[in-house]
Amino acid sequence: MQLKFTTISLFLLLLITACTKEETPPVVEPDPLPPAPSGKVIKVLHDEYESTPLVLVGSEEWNFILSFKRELDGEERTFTAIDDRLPIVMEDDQGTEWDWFGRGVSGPGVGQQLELTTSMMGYWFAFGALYPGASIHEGPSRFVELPLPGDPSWLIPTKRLVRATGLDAIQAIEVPQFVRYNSDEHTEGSFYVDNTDLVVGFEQGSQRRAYPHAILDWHEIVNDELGSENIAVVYCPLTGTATLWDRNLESGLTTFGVSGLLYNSNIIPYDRQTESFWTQLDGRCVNGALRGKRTRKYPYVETSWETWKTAFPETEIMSDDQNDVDRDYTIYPYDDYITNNDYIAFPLEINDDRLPAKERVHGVIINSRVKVYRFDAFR
Amino acid sequence: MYAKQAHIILFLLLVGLPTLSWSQACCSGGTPLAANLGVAGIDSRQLALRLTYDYNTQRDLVSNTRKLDDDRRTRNTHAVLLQGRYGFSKRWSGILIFSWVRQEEENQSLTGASSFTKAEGIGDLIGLLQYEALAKGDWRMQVAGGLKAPLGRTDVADELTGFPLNADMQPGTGSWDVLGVLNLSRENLFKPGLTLITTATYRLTTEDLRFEGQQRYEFGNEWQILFGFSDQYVLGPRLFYPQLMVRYRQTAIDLTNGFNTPNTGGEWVHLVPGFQLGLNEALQLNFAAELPVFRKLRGTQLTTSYRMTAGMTYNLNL
Repeated sequence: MQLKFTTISLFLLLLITACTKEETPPVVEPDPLPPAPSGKVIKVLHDEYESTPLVLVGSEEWNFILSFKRELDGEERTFTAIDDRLPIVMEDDQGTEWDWFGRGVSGPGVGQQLELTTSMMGYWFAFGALYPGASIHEGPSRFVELPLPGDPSWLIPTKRLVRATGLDAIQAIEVPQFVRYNSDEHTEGSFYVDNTDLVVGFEQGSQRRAYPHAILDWHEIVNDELGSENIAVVYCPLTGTATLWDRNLESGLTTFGVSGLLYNSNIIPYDRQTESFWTQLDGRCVNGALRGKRTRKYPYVETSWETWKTAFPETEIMSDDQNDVDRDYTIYPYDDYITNNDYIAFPLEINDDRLPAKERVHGVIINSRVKVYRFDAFR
Repeated sequence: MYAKQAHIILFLLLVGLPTLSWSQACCSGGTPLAANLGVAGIDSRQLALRLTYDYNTQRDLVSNTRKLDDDRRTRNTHAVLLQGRYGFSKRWSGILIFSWVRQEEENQSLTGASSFTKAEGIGDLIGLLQYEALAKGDWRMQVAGGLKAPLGRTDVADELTGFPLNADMQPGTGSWDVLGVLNLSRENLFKPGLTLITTATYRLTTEDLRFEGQQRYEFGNEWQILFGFSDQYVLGPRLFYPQLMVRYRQTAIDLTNGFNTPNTGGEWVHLVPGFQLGLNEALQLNFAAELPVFRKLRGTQLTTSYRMTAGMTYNLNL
């Protein structure tokens, strides 16, 4: 009898204990810790070029440089860098925080957009050749007269236009295939893109996509559709320059292809709707029905795969299995071109040797002139 | 006498037809001077005229040794060659080859749209001086050396844009090259009419200046070794010579301004079946095909899918 009572008491005790546990207020989790300091520095640079106040933000360690016009709502802003919160990279003097794409993401200017510059990363020699007499930030200056135009049907000097290969001999991607980044699956060495490889990153709404140089080296143009946006990623492996265009032109929606023409070694894309030819750096139609028109550009980031996926772990990235295209994207198709400063495949208007030919710099193009910024200003 | 003439013709066709071809540039095969050049014995004061049509189609996109599943680019080269060979003496003879070349390129985008480009015109000129170093029993050996002169057009423009076509689409190369050929043959091997043929050729290239002298371009030096057998059968009043040969070809990397040009150079092994038909003592017809069996290319190149050569030879005793 006593044993039975003891057993019941023990059961009740356990039940009470269990109930008591259920009624215990949940443990309040502490706020997530801010990401551990990466030790990587982001720097902001204020400058003025061609009477345009600029802000440049970049990091040699994170491998990006971006530039925006500093004027917003009629007044010039002053910016400071924000470390370790990618893609948020700077804050202005009114307390607005800005991301890679020039969008206000917090503070009084949330939702606002900094005005983009016509700018991109690329090999120094391309800026030196396409914009003779290019300015170098805190570097030596040189004045060179701009080249004379040739054939009047072209808006660029035809003297430095060459046909390197045939129309569409290099096949632009038309229906790109993507995979969602998976940190367990896409590990260094097992994925076709390494951490240090460069990608062109684009964001639309909550979607982020990375277009690796590993694929762009082979195809140069990717025609894509992301949300409501129809975009073309245009990359030139010879000049190392990338840009991102709206495929909606005045003539309607188009796709872009590789014409096989080069201007000072730089890709000349063509639009398939009007077969007009375009220059990559300034997005200008230089021959054809849309002569003189310009493409609308989207903000994008060109940086290392490691940096991009740090900022956007849920990103999509182009698959190495592109439908109907058989390539090994682990192979760089141009041998040592990317590192050989002496090897430039096609003639240039001017081979400006103030910097190593293949040094990646950020060029800002205003009034048909360019100023370049080196990574050493962002270390 | 007839047998000797037959052998001369046999050599002309079997050694001559598939012996040399000059590939130009990144596409590694189809050629402004898509022809052939043979060295073989020829009698003193004999003139052999040969008219050849050569068709080379390049649709194989090969990365190193792997053929990619991509046939959206096609390059076809049509070449018509007129070769004259004259025997100055029992041992010395001379060869001249004139060419006319048409190149066609079709590219298909991933949208399915395609573009077509063509270029045609006079090709380069080849001149060779040949010496018969050995003619003993069934053995024959000839050596030859000469030049390829840049007679061909290099300024054909693209109809779409009006700009000069890329170098590998031009009928001519623009450069002087030095040529050397060694031919060794053994007749009546194992049985009457069966002939062993081995030919080695070397092309030493020089630079061409392009884009108003701003670019120096040099095609890679080239080795070719042709090895195989031919046989002889009588078909009624005519002689029929089947052949089976293997061509090994190796080209060095092209140089642009002295630096390696990506996606050029490599090694090829082709099987070359063919035949020659002697219609009479003076006139012969010939046909040869060329099929790739192995490629090891540097980088990714558009290269020969197959090749066909047909021609006729007319022999004159002057």
